[in-house]
This record gives sequence, structure tokens and C-alpha cells, in this order.
Amino acid sequence: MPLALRKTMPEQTPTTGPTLAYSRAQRLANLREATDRDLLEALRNDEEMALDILVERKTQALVQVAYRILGDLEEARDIVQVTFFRLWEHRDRFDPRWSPNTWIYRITTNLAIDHLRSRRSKQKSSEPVRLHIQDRADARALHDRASLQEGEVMAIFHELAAELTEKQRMVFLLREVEDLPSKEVAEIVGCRESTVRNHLFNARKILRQALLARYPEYAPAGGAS
Amino acid sequence: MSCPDWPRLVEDRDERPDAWDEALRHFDQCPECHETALAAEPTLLFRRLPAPTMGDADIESMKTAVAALRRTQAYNQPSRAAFADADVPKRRASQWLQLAAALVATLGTALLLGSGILADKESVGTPATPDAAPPSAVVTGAVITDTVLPNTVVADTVMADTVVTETGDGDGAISAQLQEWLGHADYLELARRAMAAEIGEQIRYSLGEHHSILFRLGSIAESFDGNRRLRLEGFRIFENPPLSANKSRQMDPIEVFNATVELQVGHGDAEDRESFQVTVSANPSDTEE
Repeated sequence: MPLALRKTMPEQTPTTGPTLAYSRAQRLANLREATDRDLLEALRNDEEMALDILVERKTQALVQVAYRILGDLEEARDIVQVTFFRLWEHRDRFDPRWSPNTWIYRITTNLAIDHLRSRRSKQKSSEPVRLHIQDRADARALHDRASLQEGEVMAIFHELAAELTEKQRMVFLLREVEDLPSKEVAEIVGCRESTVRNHLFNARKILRQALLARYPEYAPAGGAS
Repeated sequence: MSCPDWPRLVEDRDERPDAWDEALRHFDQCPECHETALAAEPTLLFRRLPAPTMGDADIESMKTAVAALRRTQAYNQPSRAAFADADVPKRRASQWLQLAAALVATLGTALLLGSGILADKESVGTPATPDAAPPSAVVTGAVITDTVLPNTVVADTVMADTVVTETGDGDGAISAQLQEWLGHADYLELARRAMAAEIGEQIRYSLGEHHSILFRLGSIAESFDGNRRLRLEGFRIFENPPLSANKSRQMDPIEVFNATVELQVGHGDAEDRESFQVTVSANPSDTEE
């Protein structure tokens, strides 16, 4: 017969007095109303609760962008965890002249790119992606774009994006998929806006050509030149 | 808004970035001009890249993991050196850190509570068995660098106020034994060893002269309601055999406890996000000496 030890959390914590509990709750409420910049300032003052609020606010967007860069949700989550940890570790380095969002995105994208580099050294070919999709093509009308699964779009993107440089990939994702303004993309990637436009132009061109060559069923009219 | 003139807009988009941004938003919502838009710019296909949705449970899990990373830093260990190691599966980071957080903040605290070590907050940080020999661990296939750990981290959590209740047919013997053997410093050490281990490795941990612990790190399982359970498989406690002058007659350790330990990470409000729940189950026959 199984024997179980069960430890449960009491509803209240006796050693945390009412006054302390109230001030913590009050501070938490205040921080929830604070701007991102205020939260980063609070971080500089070693306020751990500010980090929790940033986690609440930014996790969705950061996991999304990391996932789109890496194509793996677990890896994306780990990247974002480390992002928040870096925010805490380097909390005294935040330059108030920066946009908080830019700073946070920059940490995430740099971590993701670093991870991508280490992964690339192990994965030399993405051919299995295409084979996987071909296998499924028999069972599905792939020419019907409405039925194209998001996962397949992801797989195709990661296969074709292998043709891009890191910055081209970043600029394409941040500008064309995440809809960030060019100015912010330039700050995140660390270049001028004109360079962002060049990267974007080249990224579109390379992706378009690769898509037409490998998956013409998704671009029936051939696309713009 | 009427559908844009996609071919023309694609030609002019660099000169009209605002119009292009507006057209992209239109593309996301209007199925009627998808074909035309994709024909003009096939890369618009990638507007449909999937976006994972992070629920409340994911957010709480992220907070827990980040808090564990910070605690790791407090242990004066390298900040996730394992993460930077390209040969290490990255998924491990969150798993091991949650394990560490759970072990340190929960299991250790829970058992220590029963032994009275945490009854008085002033005593937190005092090793449970100050006279015992220093703990030592062997982790198969991994190099462990010993560090001095601060013994104050448990006091930092709300877990100091939790209670331990034993249910089922148990008479408290197992928990009493565990509380006798395991001290605060032991759990800190266990947590540190666990963080340095690879998936599937067995961790052997010596508790002073007389007992040792062996366990294998399992996976994090996600239950139907989004809660996560961290499993320590084959959590066994051995009584070391008496030292024999004749090494050829060395006796095997006696297994006195064999359990699967699951650490359930709660996902309540921020206030009680450290309300880990520990369930230890064991076959009583395995516990008889």
C-alpha cells in the first residue's frame, strides 16, 4: 500500500505580518502600473518584484520572437529565461537613453543568434525538412495554401532562412513578421536604418527566389522581381 | 479599407513604408486578397509564422525558473555555464533550475520543518548535522567542483511556514527517518549536485558516515491543468555497511528507503508561487531494514 507524505502550503504565512504583506501587495500593484522604464529603474534598485512584472509583461513577445528565430519552443523558453536573468545580472548597465523594449529585445535576439550559431555547427543540412513535407504532401493538397499548417510554414521558413545572413534573418523577422518599426530594428540589430532597409531588401529577394525554386506551389505567379 | 493594389504597392513600398505597414495589417485580416498579395510578394507567406501562446502557467513557470537562476547566482556558481556549453541540451536549463529551486525551497524545508530546524528562524542556516563528516557526492560522468555554499537561502522563501502532514498508512516513521538523516546543508548540497548532472545520470550523495542517497533525475511532466511535476526517480536511501578491515569482505549497502519523489510546482498567484507541493510515495516493504 503506498504511503504518502504530503506537504501543503498554508493559506497565510504567519511570519509575514499584516503590515509587511500589505506593503508588498501595494508595491506590487504600483509596479504593475509602472512603465517599462520605471521597472528597469526599479531593477537598478534591486527590486526583485520589478523583474517578476517584466516577466509577466514580456514573456509572450520574447518567446515568440525567439521561437521564430530558432523554431524550437523549449529552446525559445530557455533563451527567454536567460534573457531575464541577464536583465537582472546587468541591471546596473541599462542606459536610460535606450528604449527598454529595444534593450530587452536585443538581449533576446543576441542570445538566440548565439544559440543558432552553435546549433548550425551541428546541423549541416536541413534537407530532412523538405523530405518531411514531401511525405505529407501525398495526404494533403499542398497547393491549397489555406490548408497549409503553421508548422509547415515554420519548417519552410527555417529551411529557406538558412540562406540568409544572421542580420538579414533578424531584420526580416523583426520588421516583416514582428512589425517592429525600422528605427527600433536598427537599434536592436545595431546598425543604421538605411542598412536595415538593405538587409530587408536582400532578405526578401533571397527568400523569394528560394521559395520559387523549392516551393513554387506557394508562389504561383512568380512574385515581384 | 479596400484591398490594396498589391503589385503596385510592392513596387513602391520602400518609398511608402507607412502604406506598406498598413497593407500588412490588412493582409492579416483580409482573406480575399491573400492570393493577389502572395502572388505579388511570396514572402508574405511568412506572416503566418506560428506564435506560441504563453498562458498564466507558463508565465509562473518562467518566474520560477528565473528566480532559480538568481538563486544559482547567489550560490556563487557560474551563471548557467551549462547553457553556454554547446554540447549540453538546452532544455536542461529550466529543468535543473526548477529542480534546484524545488529541492532547496521545498523538500529540504518541508523535512527540516518536521525536525524543528526551521521552527526558529534564527536557526536557519545552521547545518543540521554540524558534527557529521562533510557531504560528498559522486556523479557519474560529470566533473564536480566543490564550492562553499551559503546556508541562508531557505530563509528567503515563504516555505518556512509550511507544515508537513503525513497521510495514508504511514505512522511517520519514514518522514522521521528522513528528517533525522537529512539536514539543511544536505539539501543545498543535493541541489547543487543535481544542477551539475546530466539527464539520466545517477547521483550518489553521502550523508555523513552512515547513510547515502542515490537518485536519478527524471523529466518534468506537465499535468492536464498545466502544472508541472518534477520527478526524482528511484530516490533511495542506503545505510552504509560497517567498514571492514578486510576489503575483500566489503558488504553491500542496505537499502532502507525507495521512493519516487515528485515535486509539483504550483501556479497560483505571485504571492504563493513558491507553494511547491511535495509528494513522497513508497512501498512500505521497501522501507523495512
